[in-house]
Amino acid sequence: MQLSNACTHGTVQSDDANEPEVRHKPLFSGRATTIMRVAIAGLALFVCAVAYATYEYYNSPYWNAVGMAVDQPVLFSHRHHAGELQIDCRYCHTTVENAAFAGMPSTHTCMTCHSQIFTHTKMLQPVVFSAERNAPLHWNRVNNLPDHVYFNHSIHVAKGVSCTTCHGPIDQMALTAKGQPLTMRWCLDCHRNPSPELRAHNIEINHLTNCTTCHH
Amino acid sequence: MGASFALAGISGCNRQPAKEIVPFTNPPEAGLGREGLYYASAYSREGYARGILVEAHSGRPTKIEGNPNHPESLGATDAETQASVLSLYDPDRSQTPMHGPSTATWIDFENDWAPRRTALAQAHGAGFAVLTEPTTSPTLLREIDALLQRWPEARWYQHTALARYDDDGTQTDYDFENADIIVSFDADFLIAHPAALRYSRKFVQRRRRENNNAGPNRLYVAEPTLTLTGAIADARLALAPTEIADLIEQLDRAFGLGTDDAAPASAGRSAPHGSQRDAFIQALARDLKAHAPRVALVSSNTLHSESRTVLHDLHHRLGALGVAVKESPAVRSDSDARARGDLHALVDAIEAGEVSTLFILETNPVYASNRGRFAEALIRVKHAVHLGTRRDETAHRCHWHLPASHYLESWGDLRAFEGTASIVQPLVEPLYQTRNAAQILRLVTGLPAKSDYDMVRETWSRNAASSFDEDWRDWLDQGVVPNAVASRIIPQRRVASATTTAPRASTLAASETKTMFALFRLDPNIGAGEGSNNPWLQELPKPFTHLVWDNAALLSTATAQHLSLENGDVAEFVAADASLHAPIWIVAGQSDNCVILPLGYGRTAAGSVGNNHGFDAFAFAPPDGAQQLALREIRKTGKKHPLVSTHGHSEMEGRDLARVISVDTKATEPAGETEMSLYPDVHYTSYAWGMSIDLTSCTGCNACVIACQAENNIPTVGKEQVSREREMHWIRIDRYISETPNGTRVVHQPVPCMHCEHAPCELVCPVAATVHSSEGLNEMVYNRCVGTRYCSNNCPYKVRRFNFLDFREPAGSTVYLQKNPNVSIRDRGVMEKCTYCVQRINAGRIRAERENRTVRDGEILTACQQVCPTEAIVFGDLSDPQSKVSRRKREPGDYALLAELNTRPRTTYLPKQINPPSALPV
Amino acid sequence: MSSSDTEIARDTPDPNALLGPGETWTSVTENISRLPLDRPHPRFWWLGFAAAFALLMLLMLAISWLFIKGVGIWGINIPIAWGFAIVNFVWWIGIGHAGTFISAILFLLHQKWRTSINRFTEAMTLFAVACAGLFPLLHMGRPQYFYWLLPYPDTMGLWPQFRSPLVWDVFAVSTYATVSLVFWYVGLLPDLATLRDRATSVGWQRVYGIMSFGWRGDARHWRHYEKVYLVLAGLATPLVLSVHSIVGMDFAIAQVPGWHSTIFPPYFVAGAIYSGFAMVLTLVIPLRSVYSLKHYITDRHLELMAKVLMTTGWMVAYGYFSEFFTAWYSGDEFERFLSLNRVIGPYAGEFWALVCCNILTPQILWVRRCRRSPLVLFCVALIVNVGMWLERFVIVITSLHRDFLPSSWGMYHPTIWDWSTYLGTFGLFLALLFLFIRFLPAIAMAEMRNMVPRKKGDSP
Repeated sequence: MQLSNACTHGTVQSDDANEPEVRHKPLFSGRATTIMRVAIAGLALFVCAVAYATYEYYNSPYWNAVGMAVDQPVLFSHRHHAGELQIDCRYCHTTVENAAFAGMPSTHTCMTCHSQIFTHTKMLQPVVFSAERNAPLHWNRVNNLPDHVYFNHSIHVAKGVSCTTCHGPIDQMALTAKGQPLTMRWCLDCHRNPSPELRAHNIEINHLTNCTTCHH
Repeated sequence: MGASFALAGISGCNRQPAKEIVPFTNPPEAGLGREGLYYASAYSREGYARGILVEAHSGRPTKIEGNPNHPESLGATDAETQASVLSLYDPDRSQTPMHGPSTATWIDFENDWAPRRTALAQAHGAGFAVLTEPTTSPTLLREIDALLQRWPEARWYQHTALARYDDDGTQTDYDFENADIIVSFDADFLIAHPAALRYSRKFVQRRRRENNNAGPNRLYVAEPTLTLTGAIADARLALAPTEIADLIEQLDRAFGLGTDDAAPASAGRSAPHGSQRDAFIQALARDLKAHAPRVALVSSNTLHSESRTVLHDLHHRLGALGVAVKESPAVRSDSDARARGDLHALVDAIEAGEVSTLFILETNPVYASNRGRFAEALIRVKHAVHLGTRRDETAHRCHWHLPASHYLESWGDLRAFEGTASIVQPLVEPLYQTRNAAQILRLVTGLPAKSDYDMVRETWSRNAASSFDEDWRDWLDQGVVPNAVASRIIPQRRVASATTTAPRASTLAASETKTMFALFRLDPNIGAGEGSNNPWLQELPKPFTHLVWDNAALLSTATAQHLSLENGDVAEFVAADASLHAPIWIVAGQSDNCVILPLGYGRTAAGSVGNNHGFDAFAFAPPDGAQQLALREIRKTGKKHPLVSTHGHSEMEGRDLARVISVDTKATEPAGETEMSLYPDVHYTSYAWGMSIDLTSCTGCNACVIACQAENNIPTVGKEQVSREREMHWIRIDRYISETPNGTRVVHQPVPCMHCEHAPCELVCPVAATVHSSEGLNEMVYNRCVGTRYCSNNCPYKVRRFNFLDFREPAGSTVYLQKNPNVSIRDRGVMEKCTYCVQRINAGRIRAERENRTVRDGEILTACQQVCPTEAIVFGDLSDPQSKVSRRKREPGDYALLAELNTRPRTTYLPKQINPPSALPV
Repeated sequence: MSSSDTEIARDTPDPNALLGPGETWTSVTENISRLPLDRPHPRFWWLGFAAAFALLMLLMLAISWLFIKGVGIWGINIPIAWGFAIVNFVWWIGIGHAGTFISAILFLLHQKWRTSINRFTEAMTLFAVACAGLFPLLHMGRPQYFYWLLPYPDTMGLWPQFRSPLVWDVFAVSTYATVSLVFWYVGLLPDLATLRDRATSVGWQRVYGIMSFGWRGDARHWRHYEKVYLVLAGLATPLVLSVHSIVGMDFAIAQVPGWHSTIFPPYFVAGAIYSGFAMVLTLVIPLRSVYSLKHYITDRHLELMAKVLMTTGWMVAYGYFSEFFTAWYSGDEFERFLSLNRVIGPYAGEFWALVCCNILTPQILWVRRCRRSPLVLFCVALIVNVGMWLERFVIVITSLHRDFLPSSWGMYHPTIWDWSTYLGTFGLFLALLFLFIRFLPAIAMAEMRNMVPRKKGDSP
């Protein structure tokens, strides 16, 4: 084939042309080719590895802060209150059945019991202080959704999603931590097929995967 | 929002952003949660009550709705009322008393005032005067009365730059349900009237096909320039004020001596539209005869008193009184005998040296009075105190400025045009150290200070029933005080001669017909400057011109051609003793003999938003308070001023966009969805949301535009960005203007997102940021949008809006307090558009599902639907054949905009029905 | 051997020769490899590169400001939501096509004359695609989320919307860029080896050595080389057609009058090759004179390219015609209005300018003398470049500015930033081109040697 002819000639030519330098000391060591091959293969591998690592990282409990207790002004234990004392969630989270926001107990709520019991324990001082000075407690958010997500507690409760489905085994948490990743994919998994998570089983699900169900 | 976007996908660069929850120490009675709460209150429209419901989210008023119980609201509101909530959070509001240029405290003021008070008290208030706007507030009137009782020598003056709605204490009210023929003589009663909402509702109900047994009414309008009322007229004449006077004379003659010849006298008097004019009069006279007494002749205070007396007599002669027209004692205090008159009287008094101490309560006469005559006089007042929500022009010229409370911050009471009283209920503690007028009046005479709440309760507990406390709760709950009770409060004393802001006849000698007149009119959006510092109102396209952030001298096409002026050219308007430079704008349907000079612009102390836009027409207006001025000439200066209009083009280019049909023509049946399509049909199992917009009903009042802006956190972008066609309104009102034998015809066409079944925007979005919902909504997901803007290109209706720059207010601005927490605030570089108020749909569905029922028809209202005074917009579930929207869509003539594209919009239109006089060709 | 050289030298120069007289394998290799190997490099190179670099800095400035303020700094608005960014994108990507057309399609068609220009035009392709690739990213409202157009398993459980032509674009353009790059580089291998062998400094020998992947030019290498080259040519060929077809669909899929047209894909491809060849001429003519490469890029080459220019020019002309015909024939009021608006509307100036540039100007190439006069060709090419840019401007802007609802008609006013971004990409393009000429052989030596006329007894 013509191209090959031409080029064999070509190389011969160029070799002649560079007679003086090329013949003597070689430009690369004998291992050069191997090194090159390894390098190329390695690069390809490296790219794949990074991609995979990134994927794993963003799906990790670490990134999603699952199971990581958050500092709180008061060492409040859900295990004690919800687990051992069996206090109904709705006693403190009053609006969970009729509002988007589940509601955080006012200091007043705490004091309904704690004006009587453990009043002087060190642990409760912030609460007492808050009640005395009428200064609100500053709790740190544990479950934190982006501002463009409109989550409504009341409808989830009404449709029979139990608290633990999203909040994990809250009644066993001495220190409160996020129970689930709460990523969009995690939400969608349930919105696409809610029945496994529901107490009531026949609900209209078509609109659950509409974007505007959660974003508006 | 920064943090919120952090978690979008794997784009987050920080993990869980730390946020706090701060619960109450003691729970409030109202409860908690994201759901909004509504409180009944009343907004003061030119001193008259307009019943409203105010939506509050965690204690912040965010949105205003009409109060269905209130006779002057009927559940609707208007642009001005909608925008008033933003003024509450206006960063430019005055926050402390000011002593001259320096900030002070109320204590300082009281200490400063005490010695002056004692001095005045000895003189029984001689030399003391208080200037207020005419009011309907029983409490305020009671406090004024108390002051005048205590200081017999003290004087009370009233000033308003706005219109007045009574003749020497008699106000005329109209019942358009009983009016077959309505004639408006330069009266924009569908918009510029305290009863405009009621009038619009009743007037339009007689024009719609649905539930209208009485048959369509017919509206004749004679006016110098196109108003929204004129735009809906079946027959319209553009006449200069003098010509209108003649017209009325002719009518008078036509009915006076029983002679039926209406036309003769002035046939071809004003050559250009002579014939059209005669036809108009003949048709009008015939109709009036035929339909009397079910007729209404509507006048405004732009007519001079003679003409209005004539119209009054005509009502008598046609027997309209008690049928469609009702005369009753004025509700507002314009002609209250205790008042010493208006601003002119005050200026005279000052010049006569009779006023040494002056309190100016919540009015801005230095700016809003003709030719600054008052400003000069004010210098001669020894001690002037101003109360106002802003440090305006007047405040700057007074020794003291006191910050006034916003109406959502303090208790008060008002009466509606038709008499009903309402309690003005605040939703928040005053944001700053502010007080209201009634409190100041007590402070003046040194009466023991009382809270605004106590004052109002005191007013109403006098001669009240034993059950006052229950009644009170009931009134607050309902937003209205039953008339029986209201009428027992403060009787209006009437007097024969009160000075009036109506034009002096002197300016209107018949000889001057041919001379050019400058007519001074309130700006349709910001009035006489009340709305100057409200960005929503500034960026609201004005009717017909669609100008924003500016005013312009309006000229008729012929006049402009004659002077070879184009839009934006600055012209000099020369009168006998003054001249004015102003950019001009050409408008259709205006009398060739007049120029319209809108008031309310050229502010210097309105605030950061309102300053230095447009020209100040007050500075040119005649000192005697007349609303028109004879012009010597109009000169072209060769200069240009960049005027910004949002409207591309006012002709339909022969396209079938906004349909007009005559009532007697048979409307086409709505076309079934027979068109073939390559796209698979979606089958809707649950709700199918849709909207119907009735062009017959739409008066083009712009209320929906602002309501949408308030509901959906839509930003304003400023004049420069609008000039680059980047305004953000989700619903716009397209206007198509054409000339017909019956005068200029205007069709208003509100255009929100059409929510197409086959939406062109959906299939071109690369990231599925705009998709179709299972209920037929065309969803826009801001936080998924990457901003390719392909969807906007592909949208034939061009209803999509893009955040070309970061249009959000600066972080920490008080304006954020108004934002609706249920709507995301959009980031830079994302597309947005009408969502059918999906946040309301979701709230409604959730409410319904919690109660194990389906959503009731009318339970979910879109913001634009809820605000609409004429029910032009109806939204609901198409899958329910009995829903109001389904019924609307079954009406003959229902059509989709650009149906030929087969986008199958969920929003469809009903054609505009007109009822032109048979005498005239359609 | 030397005698044979002199013979050839004495031959009278053949006007149709694809290689100048007196060229031998040696001279070819020497003359061409001199460009990258000569030290110091001529002054005009430095001047040119400085100018290009300045423009590049302008681009950087424009982009930084864009990222600070947002796309609002451009003249785009509603209704004209696409402006210069898209115009330039289409223009640049079009220019790229000539390269692939020449190196792939003409190769498969055994067009010998492609040999001396293919290397250079392939480089041009790469750099044009680089410029083009910038714009879709820059024009996004939120460029930080560009990767949402790529299918990857995200934590949102979302995927791109594959019905959107913009997603097709992502694949089309990235594939095109990759294949072009590989094709170009493979072609370079033997020449890189030559440079390695001829480089004087050890440093450069090593650099070229590494780049040439240890090419030694033995038969095995050549066999693989030919196979790969053939395969890549085969791969690149459909891309020439597919890429711009898809770009055409960006418009054709939309229902905007003036966009929604089945002719777009072929019409865009023709336009692409048209503008591409124009750009090749614009660059090659000065190149061959300043580097005195007239022996390798002969008048014959220019003439052949001129013919291609005319042919594709007519295809484009047909495209314009059929647009108007369809508009009229369809009877669609919007299409008809659009055609009218193009001809007499506010942007009529641009339209008629484009007609002059793209249809009238090339007609002088009927004259043989013009086809063979570098100067004339250069001017024609320049004009066609402008014309093709105008064509894209007309398609994007005039279609959008007056569509269905007169109420939302608007006008487009490009800002200083629109212009500086556009000019800036020239900086990027030229800077890369200068570097290419500076460090790599602008003409494929290995293939050129094949053009040297052979003497009897020479072939094996």
